[in-house]
Amino acid sequence: MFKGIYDKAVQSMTVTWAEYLDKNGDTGRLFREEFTSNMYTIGGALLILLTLASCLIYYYYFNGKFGNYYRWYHWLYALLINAVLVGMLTMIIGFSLYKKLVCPTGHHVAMLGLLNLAYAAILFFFLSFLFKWKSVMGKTTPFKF
Amino acid sequence: MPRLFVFGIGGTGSRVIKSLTMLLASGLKAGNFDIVPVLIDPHKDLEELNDCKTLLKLYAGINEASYKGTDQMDDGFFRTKITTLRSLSSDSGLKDDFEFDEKHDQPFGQFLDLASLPKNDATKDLLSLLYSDENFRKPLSVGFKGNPNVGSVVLNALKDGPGFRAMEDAFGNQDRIFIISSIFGGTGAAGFPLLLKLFRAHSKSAIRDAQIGALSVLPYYRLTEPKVEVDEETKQETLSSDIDSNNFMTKTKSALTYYIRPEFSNMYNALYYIADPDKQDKPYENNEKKQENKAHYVELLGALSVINFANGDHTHTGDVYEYTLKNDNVPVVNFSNMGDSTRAQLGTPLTALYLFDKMHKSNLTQPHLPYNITMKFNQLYDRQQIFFDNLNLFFSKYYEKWLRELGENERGWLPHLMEENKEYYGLINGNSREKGKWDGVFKPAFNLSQVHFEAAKAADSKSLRKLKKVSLISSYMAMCYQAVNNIVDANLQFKANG
Repeated sequence: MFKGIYDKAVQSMTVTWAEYLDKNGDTGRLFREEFTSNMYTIGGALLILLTLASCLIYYYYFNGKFGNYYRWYHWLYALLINAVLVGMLTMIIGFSLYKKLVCPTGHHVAMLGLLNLAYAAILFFFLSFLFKWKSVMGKTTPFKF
Repeated sequence: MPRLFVFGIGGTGSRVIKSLTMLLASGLKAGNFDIVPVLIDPHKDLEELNDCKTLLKLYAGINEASYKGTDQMDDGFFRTKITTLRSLSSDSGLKDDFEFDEKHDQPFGQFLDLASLPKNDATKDLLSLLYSDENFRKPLSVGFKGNPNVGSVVLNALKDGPGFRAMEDAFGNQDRIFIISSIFGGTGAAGFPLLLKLFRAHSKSAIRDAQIGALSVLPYYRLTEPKVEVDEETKQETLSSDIDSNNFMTKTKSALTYYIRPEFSNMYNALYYIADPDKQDKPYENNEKKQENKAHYVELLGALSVINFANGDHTHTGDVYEYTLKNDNVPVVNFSNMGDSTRAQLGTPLTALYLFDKMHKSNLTQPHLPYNITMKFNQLYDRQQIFFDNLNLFFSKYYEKWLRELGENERGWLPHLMEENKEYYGLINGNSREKGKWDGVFKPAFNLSQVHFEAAKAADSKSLRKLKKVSLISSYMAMCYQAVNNIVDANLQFKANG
């Protein structure tokens, strides 16, 4: 489901699957199948669910109940925390899933984590425009649109 | 709208009207009356009088700009309309907006035209029995200096003045009268009975039959002892001031014997007495020309009598009201030790006004506040500079000074924390609220940011968005009013004990 947004980017950041399979044979093939089906789904789910939750919490809890979290830098903190959280969780889950495999998997997992971190930041940015309209204090955060 | 003509006579009259203006600014309402303040004081150069006039003009301007064309707003800061007597009767020839009497520069003797009387004239002899040579010589431009016998003659000329004519023209059937005076001085003590008689004997039935209330302020301060000054040439000893506050009580007692007579008490519907017999350690400076007396809580409570009178129906005559503190033995009065009903009445509006001052300042300095952007208040601050200059002047020059003086005076009235603090847990002196461990994270805090939050919430409401189309200033005032009142209601309980 999320292959489209991850696969090319992961390969460009690491090695192409063809090169990887050349070096790692059957174990490599097993990892590729597992990684592109399961890990991309987990990564995508983490990205969407956590970023949605972060936006909800930022706009409707902190800015729907309190008056001191509406400045652009508070929004930036929220964005960064969400991005780091998404990236870290992706990596933690990835490392724990593939630690028993004999072929090298760390590079792919780390790059997927970094990619998710960037995607989370971008998604948070765009979701902000959707969520801010109904927020009490966050209407103009990060800026008036 | 019916009108309540509030006559402030003398220095005390001006000061009580000043406090009344603050109460009205806080959103307290004088029934459904518009207020027409009328100031009577021969001492035209007195700073207190001129300050009071400027304050009234400021208030009237803020009220006009805030509520013009928005009759659907029942409550708000500065909600009660203050009208000038001159605006009600433009062809009366009245020179000043709020002043009723005209300046008399000449000495009392000249006012009576003593020089035109023959030497052994009986009238002249009678006058010399009633007044001293000192009385005749003293100029009237600094008031009656504690001599009501002088004041009663001079103020009698009021009935022929343009002020009285303006009032006669404007007075309607539903209108009422309230007279504020001190009983222990000169101008007020002379003016109150005189005005009362003039109104009750008036040919216009609306005035004659109007409900009349009055506040008679009994001694509540001391003055420094007058100094003995020796003229170097004549070696004659004179006193630095004609007023001796040691005589205040004697004067009060003698005036009270008159006030309690049935022929007098039948003339008023409600008479409010207020005093503070607590002796001040630091008396006011005995300076007739300046009279730089700080605002006093007796004046504030006195002003409350106007509100009380306006909110009730006073068809009986001779009703008398007095005020007592819940705990009299205190050097500083606050919401805990004043009367429970007064706290319930004043607690929310005065705290709301206090927070409005803080909030308004922060609104002006924080252009990034969401409502400043979404409601376009940032542009409003620039476009309506006169209105905001007036509002700023009201707060900085008058309200904050008034509050500071009340706190510094003896006795002091210090209901709110005066130090600058963004957190309001200790806002109410004698009744501070404990800060919760998770306030600001899991629970709303009690601070300026939360006031901003309440304002943003108010700005989001349908009613405010509708009001914005009528007037942006009105929507700003309504937003501030809703925000601070919500925060006060959520954090402070003035109605219950505690």
